Amino acid sequence: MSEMQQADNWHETRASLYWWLATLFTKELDKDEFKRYSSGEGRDFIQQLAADDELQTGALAMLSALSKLTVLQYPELELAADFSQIFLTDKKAGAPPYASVYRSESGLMMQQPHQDMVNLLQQQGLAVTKDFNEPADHIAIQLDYIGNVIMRDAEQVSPEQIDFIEQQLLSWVPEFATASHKVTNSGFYQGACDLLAQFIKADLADIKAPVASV
Amino acid sequence: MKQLIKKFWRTFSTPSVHLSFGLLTMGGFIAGIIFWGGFNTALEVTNTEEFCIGCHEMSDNVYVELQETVHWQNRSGVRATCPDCHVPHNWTDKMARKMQASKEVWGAIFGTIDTREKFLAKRGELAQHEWDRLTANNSLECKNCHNYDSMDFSIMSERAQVQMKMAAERDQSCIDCHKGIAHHLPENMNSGEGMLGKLEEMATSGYQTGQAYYSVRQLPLFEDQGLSTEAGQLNAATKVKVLAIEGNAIQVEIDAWRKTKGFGRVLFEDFAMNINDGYLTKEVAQSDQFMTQGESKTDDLTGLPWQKVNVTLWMRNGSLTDSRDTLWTFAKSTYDSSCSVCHTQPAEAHFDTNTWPGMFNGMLSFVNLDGDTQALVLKYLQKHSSDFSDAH
Amino acid sequence: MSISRRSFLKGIVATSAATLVGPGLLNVAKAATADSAGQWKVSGSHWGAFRARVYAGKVQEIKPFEADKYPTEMLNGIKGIIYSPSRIRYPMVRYDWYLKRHKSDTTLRGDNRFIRVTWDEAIDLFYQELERVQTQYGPWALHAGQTGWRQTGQVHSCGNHMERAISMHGYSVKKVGDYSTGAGQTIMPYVLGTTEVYAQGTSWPLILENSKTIILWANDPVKNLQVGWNCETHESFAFLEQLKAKVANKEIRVISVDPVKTKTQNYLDCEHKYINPQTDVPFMLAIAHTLYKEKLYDKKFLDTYALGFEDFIPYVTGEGKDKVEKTPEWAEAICGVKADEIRDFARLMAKHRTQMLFGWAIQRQQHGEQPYWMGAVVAAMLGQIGLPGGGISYAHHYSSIGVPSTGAAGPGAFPRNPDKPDDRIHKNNDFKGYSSTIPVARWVDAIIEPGKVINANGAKITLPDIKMMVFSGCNPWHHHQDRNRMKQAFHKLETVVAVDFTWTATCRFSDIVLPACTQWERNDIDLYGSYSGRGIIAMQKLVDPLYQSKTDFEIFTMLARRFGKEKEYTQGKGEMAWVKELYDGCVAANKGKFEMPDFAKFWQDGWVDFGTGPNWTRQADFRKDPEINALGTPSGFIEIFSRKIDRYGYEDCQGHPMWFEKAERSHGGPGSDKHPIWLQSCHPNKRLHSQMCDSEEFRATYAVQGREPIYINAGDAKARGINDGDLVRVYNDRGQLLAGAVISENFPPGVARIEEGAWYGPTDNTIGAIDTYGDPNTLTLDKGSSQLAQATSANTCIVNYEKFTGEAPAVTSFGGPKEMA
Repeated sequence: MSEMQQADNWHETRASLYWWLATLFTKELDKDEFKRYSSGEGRDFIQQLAADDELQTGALAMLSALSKLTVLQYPELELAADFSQIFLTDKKAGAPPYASVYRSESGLMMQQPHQDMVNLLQQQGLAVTKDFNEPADHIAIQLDYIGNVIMRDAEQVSPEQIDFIEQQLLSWVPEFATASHKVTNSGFYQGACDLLAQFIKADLADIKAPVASV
Repeated sequence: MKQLIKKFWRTFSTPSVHLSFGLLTMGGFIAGIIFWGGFNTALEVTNTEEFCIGCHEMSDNVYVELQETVHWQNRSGVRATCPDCHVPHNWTDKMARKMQASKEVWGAIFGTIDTREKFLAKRGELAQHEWDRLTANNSLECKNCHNYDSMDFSIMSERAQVQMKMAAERDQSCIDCHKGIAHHLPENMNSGEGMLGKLEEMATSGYQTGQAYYSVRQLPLFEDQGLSTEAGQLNAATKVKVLAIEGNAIQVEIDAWRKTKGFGRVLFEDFAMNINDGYLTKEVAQSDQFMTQGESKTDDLTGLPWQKVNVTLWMRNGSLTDSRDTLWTFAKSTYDSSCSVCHTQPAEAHFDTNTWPGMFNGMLSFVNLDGDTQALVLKYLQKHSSDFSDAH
Repeated sequence: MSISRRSFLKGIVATSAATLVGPGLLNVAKAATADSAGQWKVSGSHWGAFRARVYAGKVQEIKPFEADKYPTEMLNGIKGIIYSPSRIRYPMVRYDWYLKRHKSDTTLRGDNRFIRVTWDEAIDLFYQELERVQTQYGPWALHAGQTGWRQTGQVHSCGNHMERAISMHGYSVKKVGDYSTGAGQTIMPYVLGTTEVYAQGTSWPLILENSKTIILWANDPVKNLQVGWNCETHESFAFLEQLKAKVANKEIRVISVDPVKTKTQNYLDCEHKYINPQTDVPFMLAIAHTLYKEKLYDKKFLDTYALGFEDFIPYVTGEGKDKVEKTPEWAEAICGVKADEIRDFARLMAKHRTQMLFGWAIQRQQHGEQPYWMGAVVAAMLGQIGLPGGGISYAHHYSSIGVPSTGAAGPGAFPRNPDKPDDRIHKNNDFKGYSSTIPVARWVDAIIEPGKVINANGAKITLPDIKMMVFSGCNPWHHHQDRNRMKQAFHKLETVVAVDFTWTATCRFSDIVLPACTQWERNDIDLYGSYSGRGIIAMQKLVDPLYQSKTDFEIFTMLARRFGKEKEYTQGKGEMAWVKELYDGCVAANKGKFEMPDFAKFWQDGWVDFGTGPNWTRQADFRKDPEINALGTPSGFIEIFSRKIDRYGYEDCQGHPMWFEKAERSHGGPGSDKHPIWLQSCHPNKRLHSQMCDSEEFRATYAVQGREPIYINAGDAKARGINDGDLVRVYNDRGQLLAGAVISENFPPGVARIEEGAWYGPTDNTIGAIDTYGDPNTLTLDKGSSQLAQATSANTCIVNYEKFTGEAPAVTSFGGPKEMA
């Protein structure tokens, strides 16, 4: 495959990865979804990701968690309880997935980072779907958004895109990932957070650096 | 001019719903000029009693009724003519009212109220218009002559003093209480203002001597058949026995108990029970003329002395019902809805008879009930308290 | 990233990722025209009315409503409530309960993970439990009747919604009384003929004009008038300001009888009469003794208006059963007020027009009925009841009582009762011998000792065997006593459902938690001014419900839908239709008295003002004609001796007011050698009970090391080596807590205050675990005031405290449930 062709769908890959991560943080896995991760294409996917140097730690943690969970009677419920315990709580006990909590002085919800996202979405003519109804600085919304920007930019990465990944994501996600380790449970989501942080870091470095030849 | 106007109106074949200025726009230019000029002149002419009673619907019905009342003939010789009460004193009201009246005049012409029966059937609706209008302007027309500030309360009867002072304090609309002051009330008062109408609805008629009935609301009692000397007040849902019927006055007997501490003015339904049957003036309470006294007993629960009494007085013929159950049904639904706004209302049997007044009085400021309904609901609660049913 | 790595990732994603990516979260939207600064809206709250600026979907700024001349600083905490990290964001179910339902491990309550469920699933579970309890047990097993201070707003009144929906489904156990005035509201009808505590009182202008002496008896109106049952107007503060001036000019003497120097006393700069905690009745008995012996009492008044004085006075003169004369010397030994001062006090009261104003905390103790009764007796002896500026009031610190009523009608509310009360899904109303109504504060007793028979206000109550409880806008893990006892009780309940907008301790101890939204996320209407009837205020929705929260209206409509009664529940009307209906009903009720604009204009303007009302004197009509205007007592007169109560034969509440020693009491009373400090847990200064404790920024203005303050005496602190700002462990035999020391000269030796409403946060769910934030009810006594009222006895509580050393556990009260284990 030529370099150009390879480059052609690289942005699709990036967008897909961002969107996959967005999905993980949007909501808990139901029974079928869990099956896919414990024994289907989801497991394969993560296993393969584990082969990547930079994504390895997070991916392995997720796999290990999946193995532990599958022996339980209600694994997806257990995982849902994990999700709730980490994300659906406040910053003292867990890791609420909102930029404001990590980037504002008060550590409260709906601070300036939230306002920035609201403005940004408004400018772009976008709105969060009614069903989701979360503050705009929720990680899943930011990841969903950047995936869209990537697709729009295609292979011409815009300064705006770099800016968003650096200022709106990398500014808090590493701390978010660290916070998730406050809680000890299966480890699946802690791994996902680590993977997320590593991926964003790597991706930013990649799009900033000139493309190296093989 | 009257004839001219009538003739003109007759020429229009279809009445307009919006009679107001519809008349002005219908017809031709010439008709318009004549009519407009005619209308203004008509306005002045229609503003006289003479015009009003030009139609037999008025002269045979309400004009006759007016002549029976104090607004027609009285000690001071000051009387009210039709426009004084029925034509609004401020201009825009005047126009609006005139428009509506035109409809009535129209109605006369087209035969909707041209017989006594038809008039009576429509009386309620027509009355309601006037009641609504007077309510909306706080009885402005009445107050053109009757002024709270100029009232001498001290020469009023005791009951009137109480009511009128309260009304004066709030600059209340006269029509709230004084419906039927100049013309007969509609037979069927279900279009009556608020609760009074509803309570009166429960009254039956055709009382028989020797039978027991219950008052639907608080009613004045009199010493004499002429209903001229006040003797006290009957409470709502009080049992009375009709002894005699003389036209618009009936003589009733009330079997009750009273406490002999003080003047003994308050009548209670039963020994040791603070179920209010009514009260008497000091004079009647202290006199032998209207009352026979029976046994005396002390209530151990309070240490107060009680006495059985049998009181015979006069009252207006009406506002009694033969079934207390209808009153109770009404009271219960009022209680359930009014008293559940902030908390679940206590079950009737949750308290005993003598505890209810305290509970009830404490809550009155939270609800909008008039005095008659309050009295009725309290009695209902007392009569269904734990003393009269299995406590839960 | 190298090309090889790129192709590696591409390969993976191409093959596997497709099915793993879920639906998008963003839609195309119209680019909204930027409103430069936002929109101003009107709303109300327990703390007062305000205008809020909403911009970009967020409440940015709040400022007091212009008609409120004395706004409270607590308005600053409102944004913190809306955006609190303790908000319940989604319907949640306790994990173990989700797995095992009513057979769950109930010892895990309070220390368990929760999982998120959809609304449908949550309501299904709620409904299934109601079905199960009604069919498997019966109405006696379901208690859904406790009340709280709710949020303001008459359409969305949360208790009404819960009651209506559940009543349409079946019967259940109800309650009588409340935690605010349980003892007072039960005793006063016997004495003065109404509850007295929820009644309009003599107008402030008449008090200011006529009273020469005002006694604030355990009463702190400056603190308590900041909040109101409806939208508060704070008009009382204008009168308190006038009173302050009159005190300064020496026109009126104000004396605050209280162990503590209150906020009101400091504000008015008035006199203080220190009294030992819980000993008000001996003081008053000695006052009565002086009045009687020195013939300063109004005999004619007692003959005309009261019953039973002759049966009571022997108890005072030493000719009663106990043969103890209640002299000022006798009283001094108990209450700490010098005998001569007691005599002077009595003489002062009799000399001029004296207005007695009692607070509510005084009746939240064991035998709480007695101080209120005795106060009425003293007032009767003074003979000034029914005179302007004389007599006794029990509520001038509450919701604008004392501000003259305009007489205007307020809006009604969403109906609490079903329209057809007999038409329930489950018609079974056989309570199998259990009582269907219980005194409100005895529900924990019911759970722990079902079937026990207790006396309550002349009746015998058989405590029902409760299996399921539902709480709506109600936080018993704040207002009930003795947390560790509550933990025991909660081991026995099968299912607990809580509807609230914030993760209170009650929610953390529940199984199904349903997120309601705050009152500022819905449209509503309220009375402006509570007892003053000042006006009607529009509560314009500021922002849409946050996260997955819903209005109480929606939540219970969804429940009603489960048993096919949605249409009946809502009467086919939506939110705004109800708001309009309540408004229109109000217009009709005020017809002829107060002119009101049509609904559209009202909603646009934001309020209707009814102005001010005429002055009024409490009990003046009774004084004028005691026959016609009889009191609601059994005899119609003031009952100094109550034969009715006497007949009940209750040891702890007899035919006339008496002094009963308390189960525990500081300053020489029982237990004071071991626990020498009286713990006062009165209403907070910077909250409404437990509301606003979760407002992070606002709480930071008073918390000490992140904990609730405990106000203590300097000498007591020094003796324990405690400095201002230290962490303190407070304890007794019932529990222990951590609080932050505030040394204050307002507090005498042996007295400490922790304001109630401090959020409970134990270190874990074991019995006896220390509370990390400082909830005083961890330590209080759970015992009925007496067999009359069976009310709460929170202020009968003695403790000790010490400096806390070592690693302080983190505060667990806020931010939602935690699994500590």
